[in-house]
Amino acid sequence: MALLRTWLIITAAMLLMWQSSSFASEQITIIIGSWAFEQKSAKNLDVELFLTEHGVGIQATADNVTLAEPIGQLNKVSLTCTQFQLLSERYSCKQGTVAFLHAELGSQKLKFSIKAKPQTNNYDVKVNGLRLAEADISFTAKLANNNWHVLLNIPQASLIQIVSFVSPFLPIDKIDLLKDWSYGSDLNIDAELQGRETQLEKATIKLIASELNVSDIEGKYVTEASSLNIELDVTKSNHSWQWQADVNIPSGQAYGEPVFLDFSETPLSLNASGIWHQDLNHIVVKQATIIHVDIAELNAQFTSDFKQFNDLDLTIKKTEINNLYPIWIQPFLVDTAVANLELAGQIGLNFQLQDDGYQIEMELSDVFIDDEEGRFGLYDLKGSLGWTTLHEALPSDLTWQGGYVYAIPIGKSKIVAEAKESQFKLQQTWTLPILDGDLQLNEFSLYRPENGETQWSFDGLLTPISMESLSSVLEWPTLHGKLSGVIPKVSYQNQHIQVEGALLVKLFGGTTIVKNLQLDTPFGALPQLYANVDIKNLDLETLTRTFDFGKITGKLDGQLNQLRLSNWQPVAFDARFYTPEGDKSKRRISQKAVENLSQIGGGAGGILSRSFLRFFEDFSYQRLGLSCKLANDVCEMTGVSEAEQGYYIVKGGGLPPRINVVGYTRRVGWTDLIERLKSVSQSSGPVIQ
Amino acid sequence: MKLVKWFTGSMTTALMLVSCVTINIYFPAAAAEKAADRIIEDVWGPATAPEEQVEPGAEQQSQLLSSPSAGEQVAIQVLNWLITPATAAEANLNINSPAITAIQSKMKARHNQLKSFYASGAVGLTSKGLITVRDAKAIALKDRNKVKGLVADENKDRNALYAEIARANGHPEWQADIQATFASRWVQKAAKGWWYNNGSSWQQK
Repeated sequence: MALLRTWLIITAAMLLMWQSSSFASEQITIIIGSWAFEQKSAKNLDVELFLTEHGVGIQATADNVTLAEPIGQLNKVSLTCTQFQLLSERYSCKQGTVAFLHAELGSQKLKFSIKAKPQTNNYDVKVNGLRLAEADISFTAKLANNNWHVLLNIPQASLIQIVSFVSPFLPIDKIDLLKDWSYGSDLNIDAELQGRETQLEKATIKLIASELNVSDIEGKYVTEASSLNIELDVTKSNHSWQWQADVNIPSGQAYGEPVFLDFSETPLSLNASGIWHQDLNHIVVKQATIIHVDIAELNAQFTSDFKQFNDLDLTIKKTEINNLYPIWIQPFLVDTAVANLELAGQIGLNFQLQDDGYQIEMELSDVFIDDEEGRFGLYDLKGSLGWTTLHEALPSDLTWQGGYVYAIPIGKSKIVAEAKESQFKLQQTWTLPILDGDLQLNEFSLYRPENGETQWSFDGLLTPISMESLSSVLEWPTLHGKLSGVIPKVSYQNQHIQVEGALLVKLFGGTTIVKNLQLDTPFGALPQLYANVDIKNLDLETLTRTFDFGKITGKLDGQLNQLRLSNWQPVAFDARFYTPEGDKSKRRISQKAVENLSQIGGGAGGILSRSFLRFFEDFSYQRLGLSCKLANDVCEMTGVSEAEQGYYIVKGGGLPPRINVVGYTRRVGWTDLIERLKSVSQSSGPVIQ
Repeated sequence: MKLVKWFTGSMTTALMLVSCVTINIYFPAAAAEKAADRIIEDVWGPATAPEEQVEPGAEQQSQLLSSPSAGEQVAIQVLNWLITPATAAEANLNINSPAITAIQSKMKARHNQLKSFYASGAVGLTSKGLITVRDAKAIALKDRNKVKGLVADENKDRNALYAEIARANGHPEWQADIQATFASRWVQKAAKGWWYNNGSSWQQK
């Protein structure tokens, strides 16, 4: 602005000076050694007036001319006007040139025209060929009774040159800031400026930037080959500015950590208006609409002191979540359980920021979520989900038709809850169908302190789930029985889930109790599950039939202590299975079972069938048992008691024929053992006594 | 008398050792290096650097750890007798568990995507046995988030791997030692031209 004003003053001043030293004559030459008038002065002023076809011509030179600030001193000044008219109270020059040297503007040679009525302070000036920042600038300026109006055109300018031109006028902190950035762009600027005296009152600026390449030193904020169209209207009223802006970014790419935008694929436009309180350094955005084509439409209102937002109200209109997620949501979720999702459906969002906190409200319609790693999914989500750090409660009402956690399907469910002061609480029992049973959650509450880790807890009840359906989804052999439990408390903190109480599994006619269940990093790289398991009174006949192991009758007790599953595979436990003390049931073991048991203990198959014992279908036993302490991929095995050089897996007793099965291998590779359990392997045979 | 003197002398050494024993003495440094090398060679494949001389500092340390002096040996034997042998014995490091194998194969698959970013210097090896985006500007804008995701996933797996090796070997407290061993082996095995951080600055192999 100052620049334009400067030029207006230069030209006007030159002509004023010229006017005051001209005479009507065929040719007059005036040489003035030194001249001064008000704030203007000139040295070695040489003015020549001559008659031309169109009237009077004028040619003037001076070694230097000093004009009012901000122009200051011009050196080697020369001025020519070939169509000069001087009438009563006005003059004009239809075509003129002026050349000079200036400390900041460099060497300039301009074309100009002027119509002036000095007495009424009325000027009309056109200037072409002003070279600034390697750009060719032209403008027209009208001054009437201290009101001025300027039309400025810079058809091709370089951002680098403009920045280097304005740098000397910037405060030192801004210059330091610029050092951390690289930038470049071709600019086309059209501006219409209106004002009074030294004040700008209205401006319309159209800027077209092409090949916009900007980057900070770390590459966190970058644009590449972008084009940008900006249209800005500002009007002054009292001490504030009413403004309206339209921004279009039709091509190029940008990265503002962590969001990457490819404008060629999805152009972005912004329309905004508001008030800028210049003296308070405060901006009010009355409305801002960002349209990210095919992705989202965002409306916002806010106020800001250019450091932070105050009273922000932001709404994303309902949009396709699969378009929104990869660009605007996923980049913020790196390293979380929801970092890679496949999504469908629509989502709308409202975010409100107030002085004492914020709230977010999401509207979901027909949303389908699938974790790309297949760990969880939810289908046909509908309803609203709210979160707030404010005192005023925000309700949530969410339903879904189904889903899964790992291999376990979950059914249709509904959550009615309320958020308040960074806490999310159920308003009614949340029933989550799991297979043919339910997990009923009471008192579920989730808390996320500012800058803290999320924690949640609930107490609940697991109504019986049939083991048939559970074993089927887990691709286990079909198990018969029920899984149920009362869960006094499940809590989550620091990626650690702790289940207090016990899960009860009614299995194979006995009871299995799972205690001290804990989960570390449930959705991490290697989920860890810890538990202790007690087994009571399992019916061996049902068990062996289920696993097609060969028939064994009798009961079985056991403990599986310090069980650790890493990535859902057992990697450590201390297990012991044995005939319960004082077992009164009939204890028989079939040939096939003997063969299989002996193989677990490191024996070979087919021994019985090759001996006379093949004539017996089954044998009676007194006790059987096997323990395995798994660590380091090795199972340390023992049986019910020690035998010579080995251990008894089955100790014969009762009515003949009796049988003892003795194991000799004490250390078995776990993988081997699993293989042995799965099929027959070759090794030294069992000793049959 | 001589026997009493010897015994008191040894006991003093033993007690002194007891007072300054740390679990690191029994951390199987050499075995950990071998285990790390096996995993690194599998994950990175043959593109990595040929085996180089182990840094003298590290070698001395592992010798010190695995070969105590004669006097210390006697003392350790007494210690073995005093405390349970299992605690004092130098352990082997087992890396054969389904969880380790699973994570290793995930890292191996990911390496195909990360390789070119190591080579370009965009991604570097940290002194903590992890990786980081070293020079974001070396990555095309459209790939930056992909690389950030890869780096985060890799670090998640690496942390899980170090923890799992320690746990699988029954010594969760070894995690930091295992991580430190891996940190030096990753650098040792890195291909020419890759960048690593030595704790204070970035260096190129």
